[in-house]
Amino acid sequence: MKLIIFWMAFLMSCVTPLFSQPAHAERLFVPFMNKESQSNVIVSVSDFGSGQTCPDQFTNSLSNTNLFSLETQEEVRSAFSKYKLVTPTRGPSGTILVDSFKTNYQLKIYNKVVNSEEIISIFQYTNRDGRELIKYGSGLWAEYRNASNDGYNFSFNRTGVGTQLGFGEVKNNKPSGVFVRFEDMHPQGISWSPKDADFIDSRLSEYRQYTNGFVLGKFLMWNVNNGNLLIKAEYTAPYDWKKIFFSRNDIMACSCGVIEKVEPLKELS
Amino acid sequence: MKKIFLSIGLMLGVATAFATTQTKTTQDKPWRVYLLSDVQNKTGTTYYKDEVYENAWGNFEADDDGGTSENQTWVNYNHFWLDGIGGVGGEYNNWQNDYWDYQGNHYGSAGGMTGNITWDETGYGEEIGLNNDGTTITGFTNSRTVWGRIGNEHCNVSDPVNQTWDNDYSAWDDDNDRGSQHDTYTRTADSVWHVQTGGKSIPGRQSLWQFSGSASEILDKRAVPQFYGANMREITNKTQIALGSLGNLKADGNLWLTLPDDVEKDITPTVAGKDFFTFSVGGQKYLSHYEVFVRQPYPNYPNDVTWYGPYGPPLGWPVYNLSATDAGHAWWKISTEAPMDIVSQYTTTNCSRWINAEAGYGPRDGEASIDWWSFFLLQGFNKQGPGKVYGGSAGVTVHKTYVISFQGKGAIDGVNHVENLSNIPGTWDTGYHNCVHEVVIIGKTTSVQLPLSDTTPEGFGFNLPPDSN
Repeated sequence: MKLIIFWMAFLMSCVTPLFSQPAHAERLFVPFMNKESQSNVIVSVSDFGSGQTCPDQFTNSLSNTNLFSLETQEEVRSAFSKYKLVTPTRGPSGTILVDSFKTNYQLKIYNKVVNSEEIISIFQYTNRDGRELIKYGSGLWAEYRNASNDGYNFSFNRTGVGTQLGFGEVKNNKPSGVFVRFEDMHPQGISWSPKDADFIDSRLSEYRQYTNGFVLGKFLMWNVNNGNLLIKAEYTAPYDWKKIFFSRNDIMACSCGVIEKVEPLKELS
Repeated sequence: MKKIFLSIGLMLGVATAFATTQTKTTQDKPWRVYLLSDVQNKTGTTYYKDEVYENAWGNFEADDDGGTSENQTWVNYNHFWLDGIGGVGGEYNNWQNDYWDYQGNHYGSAGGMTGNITWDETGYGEEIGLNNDGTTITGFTNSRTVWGRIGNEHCNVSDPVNQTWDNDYSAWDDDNDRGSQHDTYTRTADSVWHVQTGGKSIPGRQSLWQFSGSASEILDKRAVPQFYGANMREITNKTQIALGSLGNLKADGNLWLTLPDDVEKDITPTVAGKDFFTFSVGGQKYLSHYEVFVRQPYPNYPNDVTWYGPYGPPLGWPVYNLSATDAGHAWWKISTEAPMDIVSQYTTTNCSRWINAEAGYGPRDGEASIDWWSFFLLQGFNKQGPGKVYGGSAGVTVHKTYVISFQGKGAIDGVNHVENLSNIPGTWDTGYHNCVHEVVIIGKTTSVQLPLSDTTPEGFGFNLPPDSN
């Protein structure tokens, strides 16, 4: 199916109020998410210029104990190095490969068909009851789960300024705890590899708090160039981020592209 | 089939099919400077007669030991060789000797052969000869190549000999010596060198070429390839040497000019007024390129669509990395293999500074990393402001290279445009005159057609046609 949907008219009618902060106390919203879904969202900063000066308590640093417990800090730090060197056949230290298969997708965008291939490998820890599901392709996606289906999700994604790391705590196989993104600001050029990601000086760009699969609590975004706050919001009721993000009627400004995802063409074990 | 509709954050022309560059329309060919053909034809005859006659004077008495000898030879050598095909040749050698002693007794012999030579395309050949007595001989078989017989020459000589003599040796003998020699000798030879300019037959495409050559006059008229030991005189005034119809070399022995791609030209050196000379000729093509650089905020889009898990992609994805304030960037480089001192002969110094230099267009007082997308999001459909030509940028994620002309909607026109843009940058505008627009405009100036279906770096980089030769 090939569709081109132009959202400009809709967008331009709604984007300006989302971003602007007029003198009178007009309510702020999280941009790119539909306003109607945000009845239980208190947005105190929504500034996509250079942002607003960030209070010390929200400094975008992994060592900020207002945002991260010491345990989470250590978990994120270890994840940085843990997944840099994994391959489809070599998992994190202490694991063995138990299954691997390849998935091909075809994505249609800009009137082009793009073949997207993923290799999914499952590794089992030998010294404890835990496993890793790791997807390789245009990036890296990893799911660590223990026997109780607790653990975390991890990702490396390529950006124009380098590599974006995602880390989200999981309980009972649902996002629960913090979800964060970091930018390493270390561009790799034409070719890109997770193993060349450099998070020594990476900067925290996004922070969400999840409970039982829903956003509940703080949502923060920073300008990583100057540390200013771009968004500061408090979700006072569970919010289904992904559902709303992917809903056709809600999302983003100025959309006109349609991705058609075809289910896997083949699976190889 | 499950369809996932994603908002992509683009606003322009996704429906527009991406354009293709015209460079895809014809086959790319290599260039070469090569010996097209070699033709030689030599004909010579000799007639030599010498008579020793009695002439007793003084203290010497005639001893009747005189006689007459005559030698005659007929020689012809010709060949024709054509690059890539091979060639044929022939040799014809006949001789006859006669001698009559003072008593009129005749002694003599005669012989000769006709040989036919064939060369294959590699240059190796064989000669089969037919003797005058009807027997056949093998001159050579794959042991000689045509290259040993090609002199890279122009030859149009005639060297007849007509002389008589009557020598009186009476001071010490009674035998006098008188005779005559009548030779004919003509030789013509021409080695023809061509250049195939290669590339693609794209109207208007002109590449820069450097040709060089030398020539030496051969003073020995009967010299033949390889001219070992022949007296020669180098043509030191290079401007006397013309290369086919391309023109005369400059004083430094080089000739720089532009030639269309995919044509063939005669570059055989000629020297006015010289009938016999050997030469060398060479050429070098200098390619020019239009290079396009793009930094996409999310270079793996759309392949990264499944890589964000339950959290979804970041806000602004895929056209704007909000946290890094990066909407991407597009910039260019006009490059050429030609030496800069030659480039500067075709344009001004100011313009030539843009050769081999990465440059981009953006708003004045901004940075190479332009957050114009945020302007777009925040302040309306179009953001305008004074423009500026910047240097290159960091973080390239797409790099394409397209072969372009040197002159004639090529590199020179391109750098001239950039210089003009630098002097009069005009108004930068998110919707109508941003970095992507200028990359496309300069591409058009250099005859590279790039798609403008999407003016965001993300979409522009995605839709760029592949490299072209």
